[in-house]
Amino acid sequence: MGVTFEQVTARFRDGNRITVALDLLDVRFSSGRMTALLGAPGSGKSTLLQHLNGLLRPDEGRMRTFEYELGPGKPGEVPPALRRKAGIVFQYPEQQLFAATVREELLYAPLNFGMDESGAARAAEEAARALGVFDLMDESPLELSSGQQRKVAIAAVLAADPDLLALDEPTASLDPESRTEMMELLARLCRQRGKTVITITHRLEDVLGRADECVVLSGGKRLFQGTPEQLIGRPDVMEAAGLAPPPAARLAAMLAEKWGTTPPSLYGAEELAAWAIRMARQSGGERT
Amino acid sequence: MINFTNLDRQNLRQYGRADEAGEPAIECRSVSCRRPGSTVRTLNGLSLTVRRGEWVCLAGRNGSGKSTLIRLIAGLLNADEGEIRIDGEPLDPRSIPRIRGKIGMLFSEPDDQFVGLTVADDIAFGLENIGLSREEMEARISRYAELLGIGHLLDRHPAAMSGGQKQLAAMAAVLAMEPSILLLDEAGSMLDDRARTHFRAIVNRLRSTGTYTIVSVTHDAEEMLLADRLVLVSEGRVLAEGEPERLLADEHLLAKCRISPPFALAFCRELARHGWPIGLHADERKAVDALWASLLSKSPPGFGTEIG
Amino acid sequence: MNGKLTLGRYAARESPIHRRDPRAKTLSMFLFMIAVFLIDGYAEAAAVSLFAIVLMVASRISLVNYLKAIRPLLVLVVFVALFQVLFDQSGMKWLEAGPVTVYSGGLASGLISALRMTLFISFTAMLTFTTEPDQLTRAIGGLLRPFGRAAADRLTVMLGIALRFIPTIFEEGERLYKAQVSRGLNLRDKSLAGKARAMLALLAPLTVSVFRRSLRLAESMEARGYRIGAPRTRYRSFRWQPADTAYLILFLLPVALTVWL
Repeated sequence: MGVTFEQVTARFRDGNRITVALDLLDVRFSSGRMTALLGAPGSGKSTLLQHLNGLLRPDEGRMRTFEYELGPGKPGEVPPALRRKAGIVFQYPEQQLFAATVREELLYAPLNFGMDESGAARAAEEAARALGVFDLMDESPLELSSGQQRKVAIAAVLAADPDLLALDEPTASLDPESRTEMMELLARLCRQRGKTVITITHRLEDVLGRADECVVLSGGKRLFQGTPEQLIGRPDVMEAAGLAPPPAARLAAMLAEKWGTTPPSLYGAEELAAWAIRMARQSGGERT
Repeated sequence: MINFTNLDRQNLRQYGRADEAGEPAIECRSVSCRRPGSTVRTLNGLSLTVRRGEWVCLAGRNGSGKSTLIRLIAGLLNADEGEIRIDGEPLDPRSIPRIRGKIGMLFSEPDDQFVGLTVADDIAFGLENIGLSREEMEARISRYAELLGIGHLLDRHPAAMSGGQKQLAAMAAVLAMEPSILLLDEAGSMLDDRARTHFRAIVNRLRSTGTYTIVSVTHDAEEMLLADRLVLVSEGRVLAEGEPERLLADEHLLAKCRISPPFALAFCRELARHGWPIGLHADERKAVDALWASLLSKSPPGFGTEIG
Repeated sequence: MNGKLTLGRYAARESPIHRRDPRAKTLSMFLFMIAVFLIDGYAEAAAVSLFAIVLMVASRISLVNYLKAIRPLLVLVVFVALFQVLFDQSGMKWLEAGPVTVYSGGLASGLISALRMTLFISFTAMLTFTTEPDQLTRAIGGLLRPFGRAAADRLTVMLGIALRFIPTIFEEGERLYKAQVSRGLNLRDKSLAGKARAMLALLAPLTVSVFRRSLRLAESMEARGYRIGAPRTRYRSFRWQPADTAYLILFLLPVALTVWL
């Protein structure tokens, strides 16, 4: 079933101008997989995200999140169950925290969606464990580090036990180690709990080796859909999407130039080293 | 997009301080700092000297004291013990208002440095504070906006600007006050990759004019590689300092400071692991050159491990 | 795209009113208020209304917009007028309809009250229609300077910062609302407790964020040499022209009319 967009157009009025954020968009996201949503600023990623749980409705076309179909209509009139099943985490989610304790924060969503108290408490604990913040349950969210706050904010959405988890730049302004940690966590949620995960990101490094698929938007349309590895092999797409090639690709390009060959499509230090050694053996003594 | 001409360099040099040989731009002597209302020391007898025209990167894990240190240098905090000297002059509550004119500081959050309703108004804010005439303000606003390539944004409201643009505007506002010292507190951390690369290049260009002494706090290994010197801070003291490339090749230091090594380094390690050591290089170009040199100079190396 | 966000109701036009120094416009508004306050007869009402209409036309903004400005307070205006019409029993009997008796005095005071309020609201709207909010705040600061330079400067900086951040904080509020709705926030929740929780989920984070912003902003301002009470120059200032003096003197006319008629 998954998530599909069929010829969806979404427009915004900005003063006197009308911007088309999504332009007859056709795209399908597979259930239970992790998909990276990429594209230059203004390509429509955030708009797409807000359609997933009905915060925005298409101006034209229809979209479907699992069994819920949405066409043009009022954003207010969306079944609450959809809001629960499609969990959206916005950028810098730590800005949403407001409760006195982490526990209360995590209980907010499940209680709002009608879970009974014991069920909500269980869900909150599970979400806390998944994000590694179980020890902080009785702390005040405002006194945590920003990294911990972010985990709490994501757990707060996870606590409602959504089937779909869509995140807007979950690694924004995190230091490199925390970024890796976060992406591993999201990949785990997908594999171990069968959740459908969609992450908006502008860094290929975050998704290489983790995301099952990449969808690249450009000008509100789908420019590319394929595996991350396939995407690296398409510098034209990456250019159009404003994506910087990952360091491995940069090094590979520099080395390939020396050997007078086309750069390989790969990532990761180990793969690159293996390729370099293979090339060295092949050229076996040839000087350029 | 970066359009530093020779004329720009000359113009910038005019406003730098005359070189008083021997006097370091920034000197921290055994500085200690306590969190208000607690005995926890964020800085513990830290000493650091920054020479004029140098670009020093401060790195370390969160809570190591690097943010406190840069705020002390900016005069936003007072040290509990020890002394800070700017151009040889001690920094204390009385001298801060005067010395502050030499220091320009940029913070990480682009939105919360933007005071004015437009870019021009924002750049003017600092100039109003130092009492310039309208003509002088106009001149500086257009000069520094052009220098950073944002001359076309002078009438923009911050809500209509991207993070990268706002950070450039903040930089223009700081440069327009013609400081001799630039302090950057993770100024690129909230920008997307493109904007951060551009910002890094601008800081690099500024350093190359020789007019500014630059201290930047960062997590970004690429930025560390560009700097003249890397200072690793841990538990309120200097853990290690020296050439960025050398320090970044040290696994233990990186682990202690929670710094992710540049990719080139990981690549060199992988090659070594497979029997082809080319040395440890944090810089990509150097790694490529080293690999190539190794290929050319030796006969094809005997590889210990077959790779399937 | 210009990128300048329009707050309030400023409508850009080429008109002699738009071109006037905002300080002159603010001061003239006070003069007009005095004139309106002094209206107590049909003749004065007509004269001042004519004056107002002439100027509104000069501002090149359609009269319909001026009338629309009254809409939020229309109920109040009608209520006050009706109250006087029905219960002011001065003058002679003018109309009798069943239990209701309207006297000429009551009718006059009711109509004139309505007119006064209408003039007041719609004419002061001219200030915001023809003056950008930023110019207004600086005009107020400028007018207050003779009463205390340091305090006036502080006020100007404060108002400027408020104007600059309103769109930003508004956007943040919108994002926050969407985020909390995604967590099940429902403003249409019937229970009082539910509504209270909803308000908390929106106001608390926004308040925290505003405080954080202001601390960071203060640091940045301090780092850029801002000191409260210290003298500072001004990048943008107004230039008072003879036309502005003329404009101000023009407003003595309605005041004179209401005093003499």
